[in-house]
Amino acid sequence: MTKDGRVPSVVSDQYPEPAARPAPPSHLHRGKQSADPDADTVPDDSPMQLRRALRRQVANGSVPDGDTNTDTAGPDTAPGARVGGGGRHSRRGAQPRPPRLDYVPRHAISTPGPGSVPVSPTDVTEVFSRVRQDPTERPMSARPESEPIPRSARVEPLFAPPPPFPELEAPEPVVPGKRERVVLSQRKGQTRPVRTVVDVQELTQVGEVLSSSLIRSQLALALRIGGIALITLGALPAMFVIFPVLGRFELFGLRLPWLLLGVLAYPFLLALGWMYARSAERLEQVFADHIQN
Amino acid sequence: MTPAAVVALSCIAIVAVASTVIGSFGVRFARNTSDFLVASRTVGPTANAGAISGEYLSAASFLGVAGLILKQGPDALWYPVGFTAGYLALLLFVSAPLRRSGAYTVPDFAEFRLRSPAVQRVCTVFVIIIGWMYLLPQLQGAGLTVATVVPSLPAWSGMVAAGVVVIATVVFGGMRSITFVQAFQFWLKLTALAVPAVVLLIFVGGNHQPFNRPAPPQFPADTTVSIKTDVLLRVTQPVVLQATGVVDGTATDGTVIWNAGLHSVLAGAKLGFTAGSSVPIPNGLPVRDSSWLTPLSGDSNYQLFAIYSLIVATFLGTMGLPHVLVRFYTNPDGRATRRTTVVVLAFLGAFYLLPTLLGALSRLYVPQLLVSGNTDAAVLLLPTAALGGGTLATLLAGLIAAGAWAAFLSTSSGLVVGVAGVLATSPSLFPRGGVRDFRVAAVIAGLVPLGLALVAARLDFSQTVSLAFAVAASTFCPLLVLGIWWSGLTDRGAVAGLLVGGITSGGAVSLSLFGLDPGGWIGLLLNRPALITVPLAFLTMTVVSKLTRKRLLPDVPRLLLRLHAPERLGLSQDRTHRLN
Repeated sequence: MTKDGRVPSVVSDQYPEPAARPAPPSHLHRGKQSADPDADTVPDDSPMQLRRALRRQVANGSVPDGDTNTDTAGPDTAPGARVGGGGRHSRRGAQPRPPRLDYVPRHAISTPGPGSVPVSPTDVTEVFSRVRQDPTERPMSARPESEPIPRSARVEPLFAPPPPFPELEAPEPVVPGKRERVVLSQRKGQTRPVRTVVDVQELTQVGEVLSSSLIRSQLALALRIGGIALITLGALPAMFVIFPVLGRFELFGLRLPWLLLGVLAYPFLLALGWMYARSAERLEQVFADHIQN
Repeated sequence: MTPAAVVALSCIAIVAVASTVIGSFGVRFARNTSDFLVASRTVGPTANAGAISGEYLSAASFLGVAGLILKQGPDALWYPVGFTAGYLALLLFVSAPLRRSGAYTVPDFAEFRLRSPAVQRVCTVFVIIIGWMYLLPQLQGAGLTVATVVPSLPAWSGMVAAGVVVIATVVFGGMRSITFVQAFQFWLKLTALAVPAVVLLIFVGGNHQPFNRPAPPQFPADTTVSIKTDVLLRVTQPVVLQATGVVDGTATDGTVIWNAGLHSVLAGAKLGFTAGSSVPIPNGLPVRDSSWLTPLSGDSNYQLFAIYSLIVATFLGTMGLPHVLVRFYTNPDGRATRRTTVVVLAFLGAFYLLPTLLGALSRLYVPQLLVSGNTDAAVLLLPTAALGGGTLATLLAGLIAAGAWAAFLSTSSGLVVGVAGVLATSPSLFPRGGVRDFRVAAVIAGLVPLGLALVAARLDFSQTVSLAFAVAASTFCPLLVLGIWWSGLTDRGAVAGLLVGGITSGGAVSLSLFGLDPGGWIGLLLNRPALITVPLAFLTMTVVSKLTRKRLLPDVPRLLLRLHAPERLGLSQDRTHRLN
């Protein structure tokens, strides 16, 4: 991969992984990676601190998965998927952006999903070398289409304030390699998310299943809440007829019908409405996340 | 003109002027047609919820609910509960998908979903019918308010004044300014009932007659009642009264003694009662205070059916009201629409506590309204009756009159916007559909019901309004619910369902609006048709759609997806381009 090919792609990415860029002052590359001629020539515009911290974390293996993914793109390993996952996390964590239909999350594609196994630092080298051997190999199949992404995995902040470690000696050997991998995964990533959104837009079989399941679950939710309201309120007139004593029963100085219909009915309706709005929003969120990732 | 009348009239004038001024300020920000019609869809949830509630709380809520409680006791509580629960149904089944359809009106939605000009035309007709039916009691309420606070003014002057202010606000302000006006008017209405309620609780407190007496209410002071419509009164304890006019079939002028039993009084009579005598109650209503306190205590054998029918009409009718729907299009997206609706539920719940309280108090202080049948004036007369005149009572009465006026103005302008929006966006009437067409449509939408209000007879506001709810529930509710959630709806099915539901409910409703009441089951069905006509409309729509399955649009799944997919996927699209 040439420098020309890679640089633009990295730069154009709105969510650069700072750690992936070679830091000019660092000279602790592992042999293989330091041999990469491009490593130090890429213009570096990311904050130093962030980069250092990340590098350090990667080297220490102290970061569970979000970070390690920058080091891995192994086609046959779950961690490879993490590349995508990491990028995605970083985006989410960093700042909320308006949705863009045309935006294709880099990795969404190649990932087996955020639930994948975190990479241990020892995997890094191996994974890396594999990538270079066969850049076309893709781990796509690993991700089950219908499985919603676990929430916890999605919200992991990648670049959220890096732990302030005092030592800056962290080994940076992985850096150059990382960068290449990012590029690779980015390219690989181009197709898959598009496909899911398009699936839904074009209502291919997959899209139709997805969208009808959304509609069904929304309808079930609405019917459930509406049923609660209807049964609770609708039972009242009948109850007052069947048990006339209820109509004369006093509570807090108010007759029961006045208390129920004049006062309590309103907070009851409000609570149902609030529950519905919250649950419906969550259903939509899961749907949208699912097809976008 | 008494000082009280001057105060009340000035309050009314201030509200009218303030509405117009806020409206004209708002219009400065309106830069294009989208601003004008849908406030560019940038109104936040709380402001929009204030506007929706302000628009929704009409004469029926502000005056009518308390009046019906005065008459019927807890059975009348189903009106405000239903008016509120309607928003829950709207939230559950309609709000977000309708917003995502990008349509501006129900006919627009029908066109989006079914691509059938026929359905669109039928919808347009029903929007106009429902809108005008709903406008009628608003304008009459304006007339009643003016005539109540200033007895020397005729009712028509109030109607005409309200009509002119409404049309002017809509024509010159458009939707954006209406949003401000409506939100302002919601808070005004809340204040106008909350302050008197608090003051009455402080001054009257527990220091009043008990509600739970096994006797009819008593006149708190010497009272003269003018009878405007023929009435049959039930007396349980002998009453001595001064009567002028035709009483019990004979022309009378002097002292009359009524024994227990039924007594008829013809319109035009004047009855004078002394303080402490029992109030004769119109036949069919709960007579004793103790039975008034308990539910389902009236004479009718069909009360349970009537209540369930009312529940169906109000729960499902709200989603079909033109002024409510239009307002939802001003939300930026489906999610904001849901949140707006939840806030509306809170606002309405808070508001309806007040007419409930005032309605119960009016049983003690203004029972003479039961005799005259003019119970809608209960809230307007309550402060003076309870506090016995004085500055405070005068100011409170003025405040309530202002609030009532705000109620008519806001609901009427919302309805005029809704009806005018439908007229102006219907291609057959206004091919260009620009701002000028909207203004012309607004004038038409306001003038016609004003003419009707001047000639039509008057029912209780809440009853007229619930008739409009019944028609909306029998037409637009099935169309919206099936259109949004069922992929099998066809254009033929929609038209058939709309016509069946609309003609049955509309026919029944117009018969009872013309005063036809044969009594028994028939009379009940004419007055409360929803329990029959709504299922009928749903059934027709479903069956005819199944029979005409061949006419299903090929891309129905995609349309449904657009209604339900969150905006961030970019599948929905606004449709105001037609208006630009």
